[in-house]
Amino acid sequence: MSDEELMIAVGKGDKRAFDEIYARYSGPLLGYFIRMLWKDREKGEDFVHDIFAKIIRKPELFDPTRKFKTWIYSVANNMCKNEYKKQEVRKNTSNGLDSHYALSDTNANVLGEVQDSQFRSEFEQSLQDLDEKHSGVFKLRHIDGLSIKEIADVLKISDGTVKSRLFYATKYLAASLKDFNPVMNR
Amino acid sequence: MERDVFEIVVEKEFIALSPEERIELKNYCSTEEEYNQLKQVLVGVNTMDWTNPEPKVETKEKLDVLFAQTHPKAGGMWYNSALAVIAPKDKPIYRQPLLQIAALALLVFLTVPFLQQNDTDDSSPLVAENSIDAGNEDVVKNTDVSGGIEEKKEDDLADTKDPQDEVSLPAVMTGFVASRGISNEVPVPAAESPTSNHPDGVFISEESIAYSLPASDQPDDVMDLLTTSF
Repeated sequence: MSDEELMIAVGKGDKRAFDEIYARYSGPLLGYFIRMLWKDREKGEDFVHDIFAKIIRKPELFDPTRKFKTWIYSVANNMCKNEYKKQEVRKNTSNGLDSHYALSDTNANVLGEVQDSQFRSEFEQSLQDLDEKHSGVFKLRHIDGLSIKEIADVLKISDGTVKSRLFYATKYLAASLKDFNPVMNR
Repeated sequence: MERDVFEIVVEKEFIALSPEERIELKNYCSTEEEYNQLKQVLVGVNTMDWTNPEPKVETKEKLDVLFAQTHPKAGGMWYNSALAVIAPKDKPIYRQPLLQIAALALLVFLTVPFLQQNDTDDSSPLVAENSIDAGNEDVVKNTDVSGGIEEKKEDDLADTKDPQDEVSLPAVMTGFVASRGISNEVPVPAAESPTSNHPDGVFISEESIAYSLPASDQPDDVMDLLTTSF
C-alpha cells in the first residue's frame, strides 16, 4: 500500500496502517530532527512522538491529493522552525549562555561513531555555520534524499529558489572543505 | 527521479563532461578546480553513513496508548463483523453485497407473480373447460337457492291473503265444510293473525272455529258463572 492509502486507513482507525507508517518514517524523521535540532537526540525523540501524535489525533490534516512524504517533511520542517523561534527567545532572555554548548558532548559521541570522522566533523560544522534556509535545503536534498520538486513542495517555495539555495550551500561547503579530499583519501 | 547536476558531478570527471553539461554546470563552477571541490563535497556527503537511528521503544508504546485512546475499538459485537462483510465502507455502494442481495430479492419479488400469472394463462383447454363447468355449477346452485327463497316468500304471502279472495276452495276443503254443515254464507272468522282469530280478541286454537253467537243462545251455565261472580 502507498503512504497515502495508509494514511486514509489511519484516519479510519486502522492500527496496522499506523504501525506501517511509523515503521517507514520514524527512523528518517528522527534522523532529520536530530540533524536539524543541534544533534539533540532527546529532543528528536520528543519531536518524533509529537509528529506521530498529530497524525493520530488529526489525520484529516493530511490532504490525500498531496504526497505523504512531502507533507510529513513540511510538518517536520515547521516544527523545527517553531523550535528555532523558541530557542531565539530563550537566548535573548538568558544570561548570555548559549544552550547549544551543552550539546557539544552529544556531538562528540555521535561523531565518534562515524567512519570518516574528521571530514564529517568539518562538514557538519560547516553546515551548522550555514544559515538555516540554505543548510535545510542541502540536508533535504543530499541527506534525506528528496528531489528538488519535493523540497519545493515541503518548503512551499519555487523550484528555482531551491536550486539557488542549493547552489549557494554547495559552493559554501566546497569552499569550507577545500582542505579535505575524501575522494583522494579512499 | 529527475537527474540533476549533482548526480552528474558525482558520476563524471570534469574532462568527461559534454558541452550541454558544462553549460548546465556553468552557474556552479567554471573551472576544473571548482568542479573538483564541488565533487569532493558531494562524494563526501554521499559516502558518509547517514543511517537513521531507531526511535526508542517507549516512544512507540506511548503512541500505541494514544492511538488506543483516540480510536477505541467498537465493542466486538458479532454484527460489526457481519456488517463489515456485507456492507464494507471502503467499497462504493453499488459494489456492496448487502445492496446486491436486496436488489436481487426485489427482482425476484417483482418477477414471481408475473410468472405465476403466465402459468394460469397458458394452462390446457381441458383444465379451462373444467373450471368453466365448475363455475356454471356454482351459478346453478346459486339460482336454486334463490328460487327456494322466492317460493318461501310466496308461502308467506299466501298466509296473509284476504279470505274473501278464496272464492273456490279445493275439493277436500269443500267436502269438509259440507260435512260440518257450514255454508259459504256463514261468516268466516276474521283471523288475520294466527294468534287471535276471535273478533273479540280472545285467543283460541287454530283448529277450532269460533263463531259469534247472540246472548240468548249462550248456554245457561255461562249465565250461572256470571251470576256467582256478582
